[in-house]
Amino acid sequence: MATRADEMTPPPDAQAGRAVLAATGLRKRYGRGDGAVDALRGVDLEIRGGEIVAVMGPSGCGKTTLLHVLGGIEPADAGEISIDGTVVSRDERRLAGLHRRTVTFVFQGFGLIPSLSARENVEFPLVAAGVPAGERHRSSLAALADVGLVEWQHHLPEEMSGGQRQRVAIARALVPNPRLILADEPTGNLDVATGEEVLDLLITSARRRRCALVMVTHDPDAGARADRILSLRDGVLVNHTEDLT
Amino acid sequence: MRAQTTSMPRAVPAASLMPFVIVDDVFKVYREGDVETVALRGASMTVQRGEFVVIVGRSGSGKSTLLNIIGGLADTTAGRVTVAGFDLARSDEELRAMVRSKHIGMVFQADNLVPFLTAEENVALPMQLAGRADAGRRARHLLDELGVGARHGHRPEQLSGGEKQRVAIATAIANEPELLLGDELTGELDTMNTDAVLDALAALNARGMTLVIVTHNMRVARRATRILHIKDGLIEESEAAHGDKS
Amino acid sequence: MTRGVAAYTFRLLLRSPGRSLALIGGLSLGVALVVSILFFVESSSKQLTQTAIAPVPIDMVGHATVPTISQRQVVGAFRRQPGIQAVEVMDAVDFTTAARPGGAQKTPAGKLVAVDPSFFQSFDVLKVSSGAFDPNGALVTEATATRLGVKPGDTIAVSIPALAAPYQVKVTGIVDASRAQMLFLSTDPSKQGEYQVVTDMVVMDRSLFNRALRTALLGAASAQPAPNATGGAPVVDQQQLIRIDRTALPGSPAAAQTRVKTLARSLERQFTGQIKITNNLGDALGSAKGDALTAKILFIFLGLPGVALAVFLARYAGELYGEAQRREIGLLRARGASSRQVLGIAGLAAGVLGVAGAAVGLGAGTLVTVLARGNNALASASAGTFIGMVPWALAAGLLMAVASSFMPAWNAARQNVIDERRRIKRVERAPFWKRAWLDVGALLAAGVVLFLLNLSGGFKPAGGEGQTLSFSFYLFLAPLLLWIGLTLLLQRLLVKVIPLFARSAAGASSGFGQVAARSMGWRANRLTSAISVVALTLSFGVSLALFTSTYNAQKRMDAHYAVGSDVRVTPALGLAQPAGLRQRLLVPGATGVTAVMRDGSAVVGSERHVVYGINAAKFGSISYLPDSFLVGESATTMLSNLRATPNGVLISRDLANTFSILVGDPVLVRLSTGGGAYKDVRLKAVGIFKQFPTSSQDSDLVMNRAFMAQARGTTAADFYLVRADGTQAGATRVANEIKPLFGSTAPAQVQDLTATLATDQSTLTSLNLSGLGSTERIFTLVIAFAGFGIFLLSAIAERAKEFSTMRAIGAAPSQLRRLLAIEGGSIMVFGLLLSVPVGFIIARVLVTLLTSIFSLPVSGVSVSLSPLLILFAVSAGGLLVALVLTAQALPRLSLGTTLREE
Ligand SMILES: Nc1ncnc2c1ncn2[C@@H]1O[C@H](COP(=O)(O)OP(=O)(O)OP(=O)(O)O)[C@@H](O)[C@H]1O
Ligand SMILES: Nc1ncnc2c1ncn2[C@@H]1O[C@H](COP(=O)(O)OP(=O)(O)OP(=O)(O)O)[C@@H](O)[C@H]1O
Ligand SMILES: [Mg+2]
Ligand SMILES: [Mg+2]
Repeated sequence: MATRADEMTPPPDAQAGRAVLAATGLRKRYGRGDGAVDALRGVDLEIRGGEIVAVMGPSGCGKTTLLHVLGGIEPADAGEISIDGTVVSRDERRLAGLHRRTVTFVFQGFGLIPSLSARENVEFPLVAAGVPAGERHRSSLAALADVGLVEWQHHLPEEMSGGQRQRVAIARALVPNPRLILADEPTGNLDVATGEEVLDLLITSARRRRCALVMVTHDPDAGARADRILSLRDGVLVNHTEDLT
Repeated sequence: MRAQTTSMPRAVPAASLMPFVIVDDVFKVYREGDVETVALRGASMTVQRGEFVVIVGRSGSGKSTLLNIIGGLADTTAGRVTVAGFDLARSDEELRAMVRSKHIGMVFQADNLVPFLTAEENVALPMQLAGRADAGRRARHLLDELGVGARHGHRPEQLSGGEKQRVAIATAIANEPELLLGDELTGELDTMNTDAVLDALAALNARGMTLVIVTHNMRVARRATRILHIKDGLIEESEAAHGDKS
Repeated sequence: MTRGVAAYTFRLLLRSPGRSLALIGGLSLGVALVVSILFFVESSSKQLTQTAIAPVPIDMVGHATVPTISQRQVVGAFRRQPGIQAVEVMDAVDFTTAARPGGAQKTPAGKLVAVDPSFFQSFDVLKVSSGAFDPNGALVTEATATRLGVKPGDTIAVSIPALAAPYQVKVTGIVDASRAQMLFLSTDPSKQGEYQVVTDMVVMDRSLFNRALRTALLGAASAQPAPNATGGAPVVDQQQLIRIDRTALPGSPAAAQTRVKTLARSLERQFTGQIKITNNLGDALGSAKGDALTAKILFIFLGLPGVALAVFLARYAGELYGEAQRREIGLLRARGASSRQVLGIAGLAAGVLGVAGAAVGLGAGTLVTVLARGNNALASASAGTFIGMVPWALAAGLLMAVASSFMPAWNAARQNVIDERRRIKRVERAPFWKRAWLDVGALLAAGVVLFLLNLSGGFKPAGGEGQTLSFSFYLFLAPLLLWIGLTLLLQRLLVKVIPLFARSAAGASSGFGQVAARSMGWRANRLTSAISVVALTLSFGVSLALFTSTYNAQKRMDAHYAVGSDVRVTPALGLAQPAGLRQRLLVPGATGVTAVMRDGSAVVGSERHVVYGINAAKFGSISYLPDSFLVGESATTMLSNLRATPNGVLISRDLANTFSILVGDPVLVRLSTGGGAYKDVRLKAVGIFKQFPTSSQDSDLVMNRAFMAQARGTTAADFYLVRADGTQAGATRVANEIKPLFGSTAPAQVQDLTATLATDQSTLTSLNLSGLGSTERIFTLVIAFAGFGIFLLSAIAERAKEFSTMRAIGAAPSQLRRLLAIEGGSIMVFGLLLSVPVGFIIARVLVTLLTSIFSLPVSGVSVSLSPLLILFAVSAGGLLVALVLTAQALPRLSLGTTLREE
């Protein structure tokens, strides 16, 4: 699992630029009849190992929906998702299993479990994966060190500032050593200065671990720091090949 | 200036001659067991009728607290607050409710919408509470104006982040308040929609609505007539902005 | 109220169905409990009425107080009275003896009665067992026939003092008069109001009586100056036996008694000064009236904690959604709602919930009543009963709705809006009761009330005729205060204990166990409420089970005390007993027999007292003589002391106090030897008792039977005690074996435990406490189940976000279920463990308070394990089901929607 040793050897396909995640023809409709909303109307995309992608678009265009579908939180109505070349979208169980190991989340509202301390929060994905206690301990401390919060490991979320909380959430997303992090407006609840710090941390951590990052943002400056911007409009991607690097 | 130093709060006849909002040396201390948090330590400001004021400051500097006090949702620990001539901090709940209903609209940082009401019902609620007959029609109209008319039947959990925020703005301006207090009201909006919302607000502002908005967004700040910086519970400086008046 | 308020309220109720249903569920349980207790009280008082009047063979008896009335006229008038079903006349004359003309055998004094042939149809107190009722002859009782050796066709001579010569009449048949005990009132002034047992009777047709005897007897009577003035009975007792329409009687004993009394009075008024009515039915109802009152109090005591519990549950259900409610109210007020509007919404919502809860509760209460006690529980209730229940149900529902949903809103409406909007911190100010130490205060107050009650002699329901309810109001206060105090104290302690427990559990575990422990520590408040609901509910069940087992044990003890052993056999008075009777009583199933001698007219000092003669060697093993009946010594010691002292005597404490007798003192007793003769004996007190089995009132002195027999010169036993195996069934079996031994020749009264339990004591002991028990057991289970289920469901709803996040960051549904199972399991275990001590305390207090419904002092709570174990097993099962069912709801969480909310 997530050990320092693992970090030293990045996944082979990272350099090769092979797709960590590929999706074709994703569709998602909410509701039925007159009130139905087509949130995704045929999305094709490919995320290569280690790349940083910004998803931008007007409110209600389907960004959150896309992230939820890619992350296995909500099933797509149609289309195919494959992770590392394996099609997973047909089999919910497999989807969940694979996602757990390879895709993690950072939420706008931090999504920390209020009863758990910072370190216990970071440890949680490892507990769920059945990682032995000793290793769990080491990995979570290492991840907290990465975000500079080792001294805060015993604090509860409510005792921390927004920026600190989001850093804990980032550590938690990093700890299973994922291939891809999905982040929905990770700085949306933070003031400008704090938001910049957090974004910095997120991008550098992802780069260091050669982990791909897909983040939804409204902030053009944040978009500018990505390798690539996916523009979503009314449930479809427009000129998503736009490559900023 | 301070026409009402004593006695009963009541509207001043020549209300237009005095600032619409007066915050005078306000302290706010939150007590939680033994822990005291001083959120405001002597904040003072005035806002004239028709102004568009933006408040900026770091997280925890007391922005939301200030807005809540102006909105009559919280007592001051010390100091006085006058809105539309009413001494809010010291009046009883009935009067505050009346002022909120008639004069003030608010958009909060979160939890703006009643979870079991649809977008349209949420917008209609303050109008119904005030006894307006055309609540439903006007609610639809407002939603259309803010670009979320198609989502009128959705409950908050079925709306995207930005859609929720726009519904919240519609709710706040439903009763055509003289004062709109907005806490991060465009936080989740993309640039295009931010502009659309700002245009709508500017139109209201032009018709006389006073705006006090907390934001991190420079796009919003650029439209203001004045920017206030708040730091550690004190309003530090007040800079005039160009105010993109349309 | 504006349309906006109404529209908002209905949307609130309809669009959060889970919440509305949870609240309605909580309320309806409370209402249902109230309703079923009311049903119970209703049908119990009906049953008490039935039990009380069932053994009364003749409802009312009119006695002529002047010899000159016209029976025909009286009967005619009585029969016309509405509510009267049948009236028969009977003329009765005492005879000194009956014999065969010239025969040597003579009967003791008896009665000659004259009735119409229709009498045998109207009342079944006399039954022709052989031969026939003939207008020209007479029937004799079995005892008379046996004594005189007569059979139909023989002639007997009946000696009546008013007649010059014995009256000779032909015997045409034998009559079974075993059910005729209530025909004659005793003439002995010391036994006023009691019935006279007459074994020898001659029954003849009234037409023959009128022809042959009436003139002579009445002539003699008028010769006597004013018979009533001298206190003696008239020579001819002219009676009217009355049967009323019992189906028309009201259900409650009190109302029925009033009705019957009115009827009796209106009968008397038609013949003022000429007829005196003995109201058997009224008397029976009178004693049932006191019992019904006691029963009501009993039910209220046993049901009250249940209702308090239901209120607690409703409150708790409201509290689970309090957070959401506060948030909504904050938002409403921020949107300009006035306090009036907020309260209007809360009030309307509470009203709708209350009415819905009342309706559902009414149905559920009816259903539970049927489930617990079968269909006839309802059959006995009229439509009026049901309608009468509606206001109670409504009142209960609305009250609870106000407590659970309106009061929190009221509080929220008065606080700062901002506090409502930002309840990010979970640390809240300690509630008022905690700061005021109300829990400890309530417990202390309960203690004081109990103490005062004890000083004033405890709970004494006023029975008896004409007396009104006169028990102390404080009585209700004690269990109520105790209950409130325990509830609050439990919460105070749990809130402290749970985080400690959680912390150590978290330290000791890892992985999901640790996560669960942390979560429990975090939610100590919620957990406290949930554990309290489970613990208090089960403690309610426990206390009821304990009370019921104590009640049953006590009832059996009472019965054993009254009977003396499992079975008591009393041979007919004055009849020669069959040889070897004692041996023959050792029927299969009987483990021992002992004879007891009784002298009902012994004299101590100048007063009459009853003296028993027992076989001290055997008595201990055959009767039930607990040590608690005796003063200072164990039963074994006292009996062996008696045995060692031939002229020893055991004295009741009352008597010992009256005469200042101490153990070792001499006691002078005049034993009666029959025919008004006495024999003085000098006895020595060897022990003092509070109660002595065999008789509830008159066991004043107990001596050795051998010594008594020698002194009185007779060995004849007055009754025999037979020991079976101590159970009701065993007693009945043995009694049934014994009855045929006597046949119809030597009638004997066979009294057994079961029959005594059923009838002999006050009607109160026949109360169907187990019916109430099973009703409340169902409620215990349902409330525990609902409370737990509501907690789990609301936990899932409230923590939807948390659970969804956990899912999103890697937890499998099964892991979340485990999390919930650990939390739920802890609630269960804590709840079960805590229920035992709390239940025991409550049971103890109930037993103390209700001591007086038993005739013997209660020594403590009797624990019978099996009902408790069943209660625990079933509730643990129910809680597990709730856990499994709610765990099923977990995977259905809609992750997408919950994670979208910010
Ligand atoms: N449960 C639902 N039922 C119906 N419609 C829904 C539901 N959830 C989302 N939608 C609709 O789907 C569309 C896409 O929503 P989504 O949250 O993906 O937008 P978004 O791009 O993230 O917007 P924002 O930038 O405002 O957060 C929106 O128009 C929304 O109204
Ligand atoms: N109800 C409360 N109880 C206790 N402390 C509070 C409460 N509300 C706010 N505070 C504290 O008061 C200070 C000011 O809070 P406030 O919400 O006004 O800040 P803000 O400027 O709006 O921050 P942000 O940009 O994060 O919204 C903070 O330290 C906050 O923790
Ligand atoms: Mg979104
Ligand atoms: Mg704020």
